[in-house]
Amino acid sequence: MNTEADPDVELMLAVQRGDATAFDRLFEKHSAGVVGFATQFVGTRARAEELAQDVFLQVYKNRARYEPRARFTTWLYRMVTNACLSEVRRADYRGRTQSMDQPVGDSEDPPQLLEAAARSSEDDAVSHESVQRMRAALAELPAQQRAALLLARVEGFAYDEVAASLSCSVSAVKSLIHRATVTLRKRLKEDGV
Amino acid sequence: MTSCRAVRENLTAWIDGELLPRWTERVRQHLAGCAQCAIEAEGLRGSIALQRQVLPRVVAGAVDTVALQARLRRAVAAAPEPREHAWRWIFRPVVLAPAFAVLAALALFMFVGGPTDVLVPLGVAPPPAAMRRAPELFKDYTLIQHLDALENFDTVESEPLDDEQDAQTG
Repeated sequence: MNTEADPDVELMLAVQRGDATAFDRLFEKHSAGVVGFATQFVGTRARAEELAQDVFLQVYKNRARYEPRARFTTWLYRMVTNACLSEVRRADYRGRTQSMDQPVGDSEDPPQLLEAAARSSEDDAVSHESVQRMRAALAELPAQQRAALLLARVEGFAYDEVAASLSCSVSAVKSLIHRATVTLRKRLKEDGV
Repeated sequence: MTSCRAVRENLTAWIDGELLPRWTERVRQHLAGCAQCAIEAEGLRGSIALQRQVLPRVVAGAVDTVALQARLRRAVAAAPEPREHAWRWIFRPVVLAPAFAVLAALALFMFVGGPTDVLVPLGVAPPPAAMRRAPELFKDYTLIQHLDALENFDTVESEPLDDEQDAQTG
């Protein structure tokens, strides 16, 4: 792909040259997405924020080694996905997570943040119930299928970018996304969505 | 004719526009002639549209970016600067070339023969222990080196041993 067309690549190259403002801008642009993505793996938003902080720290530490071969987000989400899948694999993970069926933030997010989220204009288009059912169905998918589906449907990654982020082949991604799509469809059909 | 099973396995990628042109056309042709697969494709298309609409809402949520950024800044300030230049000099040709030369010389001495083998005939290094213990065994060593000198030797027939002589006479 043409990385010159990606403004994030320019920002990352500026970070590489020591521009702290560029790092702040990258963080402001992507931190919410990274936290939201990570929450689907680690269960709580607080833990997802810690993980996002670790990932952005890695971005900063590895800035000298960054090479603009692909979109910045492909590189970023490769780190995010690795961190999330490692977290899922970790034995002590289960003790820290809450039920994924529980709405995110029910127990830990400050009330003012929840109110801000509830005021989102997207609530008008998508019912709260649909979101809850989709969240529950998503949580039941195997971690790799979940990661592939979120990268494709939420981040808008092409299959080859998903493959680069998950370190697997494009045909494996095709299979992961297809199985995830079919499972979600079946599950939501059962729930009457 | 492409089978229904093969088509259905590729339907999600087909809807996502991720199939190769050859397969895209195969799926399209199959769906034109197979009502059941066409219904399946429509169902999946609706499901994918719903996912694209709802999943961003699932992931979205308010993040206290200011607090998170403040924590990150503290972590960045506490993190040691990457010491790229501390080890990268090792890979420069000016360092690598002599290092390889020294390694090659060491390998040569280890597998072909040490520096002593060269220095002993020159009298610089002490002879090996076996030579020091029985120097008489090695005194004609220079003669053996010039084997062509043996051409001047006459054939010497050895005298038969005593017991051989007895056997012949007895």
